[in-house]
Amino acid sequence: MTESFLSFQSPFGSDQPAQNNSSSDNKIERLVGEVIETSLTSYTAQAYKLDEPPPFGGLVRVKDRAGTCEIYGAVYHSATGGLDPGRRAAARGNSQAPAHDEQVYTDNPQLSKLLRTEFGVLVLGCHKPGQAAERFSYIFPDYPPPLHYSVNLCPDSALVAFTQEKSYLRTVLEAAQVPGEELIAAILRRAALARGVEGRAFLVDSLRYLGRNLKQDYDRFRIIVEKCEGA
Amino acid sequence: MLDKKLQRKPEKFLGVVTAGSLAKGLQARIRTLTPLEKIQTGQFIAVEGDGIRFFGLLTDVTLGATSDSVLLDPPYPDDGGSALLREVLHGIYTYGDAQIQPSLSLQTGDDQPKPVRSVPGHFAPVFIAEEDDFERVFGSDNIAENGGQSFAVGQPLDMEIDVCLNLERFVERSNGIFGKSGTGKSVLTRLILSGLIRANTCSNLVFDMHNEYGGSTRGEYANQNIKGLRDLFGSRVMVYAVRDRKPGAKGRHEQRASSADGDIVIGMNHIDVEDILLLRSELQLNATAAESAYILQNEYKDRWMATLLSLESEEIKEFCERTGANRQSIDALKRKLVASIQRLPFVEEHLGNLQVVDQMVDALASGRHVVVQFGNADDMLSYMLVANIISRRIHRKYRDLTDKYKRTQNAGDEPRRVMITIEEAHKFLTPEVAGQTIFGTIAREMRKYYVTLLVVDQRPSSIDSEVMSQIGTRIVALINDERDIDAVFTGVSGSSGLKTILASLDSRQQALLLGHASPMPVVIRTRPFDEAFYRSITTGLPTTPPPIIRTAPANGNGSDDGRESFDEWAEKEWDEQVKKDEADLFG
Repeated sequence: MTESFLSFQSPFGSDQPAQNNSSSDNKIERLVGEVIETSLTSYTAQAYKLDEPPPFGGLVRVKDRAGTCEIYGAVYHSATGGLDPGRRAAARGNSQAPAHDEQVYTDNPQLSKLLRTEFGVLVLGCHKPGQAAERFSYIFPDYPPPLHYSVNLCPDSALVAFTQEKSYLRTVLEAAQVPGEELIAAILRRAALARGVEGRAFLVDSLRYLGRNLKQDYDRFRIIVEKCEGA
Repeated sequence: MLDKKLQRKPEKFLGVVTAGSLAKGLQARIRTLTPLEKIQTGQFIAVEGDGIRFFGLLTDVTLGATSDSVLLDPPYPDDGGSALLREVLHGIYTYGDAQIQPSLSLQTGDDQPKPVRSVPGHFAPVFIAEEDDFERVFGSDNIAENGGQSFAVGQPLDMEIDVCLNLERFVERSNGIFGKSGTGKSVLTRLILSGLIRANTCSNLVFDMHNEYGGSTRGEYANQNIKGLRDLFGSRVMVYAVRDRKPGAKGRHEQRASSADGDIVIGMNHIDVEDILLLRSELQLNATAAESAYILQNEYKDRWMATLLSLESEEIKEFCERTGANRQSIDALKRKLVASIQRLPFVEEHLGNLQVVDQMVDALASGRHVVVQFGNADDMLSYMLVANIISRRIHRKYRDLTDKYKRTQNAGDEPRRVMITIEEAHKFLTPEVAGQTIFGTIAREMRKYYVTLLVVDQRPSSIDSEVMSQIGTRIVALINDERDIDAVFTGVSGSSGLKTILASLDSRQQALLLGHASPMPVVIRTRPFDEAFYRSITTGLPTTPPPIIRTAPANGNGSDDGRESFDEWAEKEWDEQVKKDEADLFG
């Protein structure tokens, strides 16, 4: 799974063969983890499978306690470490190069029980009861996502619908302690790829929206544009 | 508001009004996605206000940026990712502003647009005008179809629709056709004259210095043959030529530049001091010498010139002592007159009357059109002398006719309007002579006497500004010289934007139309003067020209001199040519 994340391709390089693995994988919703730390603006979740968090910039969804409001957010961070925050992982190999990196996990099966993968999610909007299926509110939910509720990675169709309106970009721009430029570029790249041939127009539209909000900060805007294009 | 927008094509949307004033014009932010390159100055613009639609001209496009940092560190073409950057910057960080000069406004529910007296509010949507707007402003009548008084002179730059000139309004004032040499002034003039003749709006007198309007001429391109007015309109147009050989000179008939209905001959007794004053710079006379002519005229009345030329040196001395005239001036005047005027082939020492000229004037008054050709006598001196004398004749006649009409108030007595076309007009209308020549008078006041001017010139800055300010309709082809551009816009409000448009015209077949007969300034591609035009201008013409009431012997020569008429002459020429060709071909 990590491979599919890393092999993300730019939708614009026409000379490169398009690798649609990632998008074909994202046709259906997938359970990826569980909320372990929560707040109204962002939450942390633990991935059910070690080293298999949702991709950076991926759109994830949690239901609120009433079960009617769906809270949408983007993955802005993921990390793997020991279950016990006091214990750091120690090297397992020796000076001999292993035949395969994965070998260390088969040799030490207890590792998967001692390590865990966490990911952070920035809340971007919600889908309230009574709203049409393709419509979203780009505001914070009334309540934060409850602890231990399950986190689902949204399919491309939901990503396309969610990014149709552009105001979520403002939330990302203003969020503290989030790699804003990288996150925006990652969301836009994924959303553009999910759109196929219309990706370029979407990207230009979104960047224009961003530009209007970044009129006074051309340098930051330029960084985002470069990150979007040079994927 | 919304439905109005929907009525227009979305691709015609240009932007929204952001700033401006009535005096300085409006400023509109150009819509993000319109490529700036596609927006040309001179385009006709419609602004949809609340309840009022404004029409104007796009006069300029400026580039702007919201932040200096974009301009300090622009995306260069050799940067890797700059294509996307440039695309998204446009319209957000960088933008275009359109300058619009509003000229007309149309209240919802009104039919006729009125001159603009207000500005649209902020963010009023701006559109490139569509055909419907043109029809509203310029009328859709084409003269070829319904014989009305609006005449299609061309088409807007980016549309296939006729821009019409209101001919009745056109002849109400004096008009000007300006442009650098080679920008199509003659074609424009021929076009307008054809329209006027076709619609029978007024009689035209054309002083045709270079023999361009009467018969067909060669175009600037190979194999291009441009028909003259005589070819198009037959006997409605009479062609007179200034006599270019003295009687008795050899080969006179053969060497004629073109055929004509009559020869113009002028007697010295018809040359006024005013004519000599007009020619001062051509004759290189100083002011005193010219003024001395007045003394002569007081003494000898209309025979002053012939008498002066016949005076011996002793007699001049005696004359000077008697009248107090300056001897040197009189001598200089005599010298110049002998050298310049006396040798002119069309000047006779004494003529009882100006029969041919009077017939011309009568022909004009009765609805025909006259082209005066200068043939070989196309030097400035002859041109100015003849034009001035004929125009003075018309001036006098029309004063009388108008006075009569004022007395009787009889509709039948209303004089037929005459428009005099003069080329190289700045020679007649320089500030030094405009106060004295007949053309200055006509330009200033003869509108009331049913005579107007069509001034064709390449150097409008040399024309007296008082005359320029009275010019009603201006048709301006490309002009580059700053002073000429300023002169063209004398008496035009809001001209600063139009200047940019004028300087950016193509050097061919494009012109800016503004003034009395055009509801608002507009840039046109001029109508080509080609076969299609000939057809549309001549179809449905009434076959018989209006009769000349008082004069005109049947042979059309202007006087009953026993020569064959023009038609007979042309037929004879043709037969001779056929015989010659046959002889060449078949031995």
